[in-house]
Amino acid sequence: MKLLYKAIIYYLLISLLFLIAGGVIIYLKTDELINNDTKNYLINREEIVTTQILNKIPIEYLNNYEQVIAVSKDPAEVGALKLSDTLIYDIIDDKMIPYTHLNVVREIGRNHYKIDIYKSHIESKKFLVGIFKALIYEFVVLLVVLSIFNFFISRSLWFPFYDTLNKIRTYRLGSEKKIIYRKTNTREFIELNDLLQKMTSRIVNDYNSQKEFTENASHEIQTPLAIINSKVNRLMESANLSEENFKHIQSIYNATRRLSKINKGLLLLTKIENKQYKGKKHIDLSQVVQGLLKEFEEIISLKNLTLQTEIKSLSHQMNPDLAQIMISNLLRNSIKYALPHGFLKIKIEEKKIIFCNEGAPLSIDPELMFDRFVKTDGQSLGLGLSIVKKICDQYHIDIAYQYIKGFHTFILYFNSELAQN
Amino acid sequence: MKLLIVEDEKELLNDLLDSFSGEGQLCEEAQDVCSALEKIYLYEYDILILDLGLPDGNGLEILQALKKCNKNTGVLILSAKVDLNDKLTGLNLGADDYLTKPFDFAELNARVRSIFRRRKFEGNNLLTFNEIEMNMDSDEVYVNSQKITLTRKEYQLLQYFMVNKKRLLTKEAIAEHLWGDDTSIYDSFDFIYSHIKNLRRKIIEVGGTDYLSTVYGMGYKFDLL
Repeated sequence: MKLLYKAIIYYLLISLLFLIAGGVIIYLKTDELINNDTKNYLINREEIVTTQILNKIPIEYLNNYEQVIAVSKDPAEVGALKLSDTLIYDIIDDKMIPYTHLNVVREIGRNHYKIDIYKSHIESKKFLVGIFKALIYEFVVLLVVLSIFNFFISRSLWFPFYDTLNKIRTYRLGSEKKIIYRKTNTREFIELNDLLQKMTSRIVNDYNSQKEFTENASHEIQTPLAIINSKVNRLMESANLSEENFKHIQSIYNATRRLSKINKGLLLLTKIENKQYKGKKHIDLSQVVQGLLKEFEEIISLKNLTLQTEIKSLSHQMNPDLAQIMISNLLRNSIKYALPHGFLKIKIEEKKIIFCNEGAPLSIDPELMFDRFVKTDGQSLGLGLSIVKKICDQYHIDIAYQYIKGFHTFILYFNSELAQN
Repeated sequence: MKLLIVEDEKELLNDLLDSFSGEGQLCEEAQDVCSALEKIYLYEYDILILDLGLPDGNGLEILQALKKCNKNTGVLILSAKVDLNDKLTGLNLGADDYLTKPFDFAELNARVRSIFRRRKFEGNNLLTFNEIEMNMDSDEVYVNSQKITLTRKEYQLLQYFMVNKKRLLTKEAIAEHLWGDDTSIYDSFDFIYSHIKNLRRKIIEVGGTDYLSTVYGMGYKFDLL
């Protein structure tokens, strides 16, 4: 929820609270006023009636629907004035209407008179309803005004904030562009932009030095490896080595090569992660697949694999080198783990590439498949698939693995809409 | 063949010098951009083996200078930079080949020879070892003057052996020479074995000698018996 909406809700809640409290106070005050007024009115009326009776006006003339005067026989009832609330049926409105009822027995001349005077509450009720209606209108108007106010505030006052937000959202670490924040005179936003500026420049610095470090480190590692390899080469060529020593040297040789390959793989992985492979092109993946299949023709026939291909045209926006690496790694993987004399199926469908090979079940958790250094045998480096995954992530390609009925299946899903963004 | 080896790592430089001198080549060295430039301006070389990361600059400067003076020198970049872009930059600037460190001498040797052959077309494009003769223009192989037909891989294999005679060639190095970086899928090296078996058979069939010997079951050597 937007901060502004939250603020508005709080404003409205507080306003509502005040309006309710105000309403209650107004109600109580008016009610008291009206009650007093009614009481005074009834007492006045009664005095007028008493005077009229004293002046010998016949009581028949004095009776109407709000005052009833009767001659009382019972002198014992003479006494105090009684006020009470009562409901009286109204023929016109067809409902019970609240009245205040004054009742007194007076001795005027020789006679006793029972005087009943009624005063309807209906006006005061209407008055109260009017007050509540006014309050509700006020509340609605407040709501509308605050919303409009909010709209303009968010357009002007919050503009620098949303502008900054947008800039951060579109910012990509590793891109050459620097964020230039909009000038503002709001202190909070100045502070925010200032902090963001400092933070991003620090991150960019760290990122650059990290990038440099990885590259330099890998470069620096290759050189001593080259020396070891060169010395091992010389040792191997030297005559009269015993078989045992030769084996040791062979081990060093293999380990050196392996280390060098791990190093290269990690460097590649880091570069992909750092998005250093730029430059997207429309790559015809079916061509890449076919080209690579040609390259692997020999091994496929040497392993006596039955190759089934179903290739439709499919292209995707990506870096050509990474496309090559991605397809090549998956293809190699399928060939490598295919059972000799088994099936190898490569299918390209609409928005889908499927690599499928017959093979023994995995000895590892398929969940870990794309993690670094997860390997099923001692020979592989355990980097190939994690490189594939990294490339897929970069270009919004989904990759899935399944083992169905003796077939290892990798599927690449291309979602072109996502990739365009 | 006259070589200039530009390499700032002393140990590596010495091994390279020893290795090429051992092959009977004339070698000179330079350890930085400055002295390398001086040498290429003053002398003529057939092959330049070039490291890129040098103490006083990038090896590519030397390559550019060389191309500017139009010398017919073959260039092989031998670099620790493994990135594809570095390789492409080097090749675009006119290098003939690019090999990353660490490397095997046999591979380097084979590549240097190949550059040399391509550059110096002086009629002598034959590789001979006793009765085996390889014509690298027509890609034909003769044993005792009798033509034998080899597959592409067998041909590459024989050429690799003949260029690197007397050297011990490990299975891994052979695999990498034949299949490049794809060796990982050739998990057991049976494939090399089958190629070698066929090659041997084809040579022996026409009365040739089998000059190949295995070394402790781990590598091969092509040499006089």
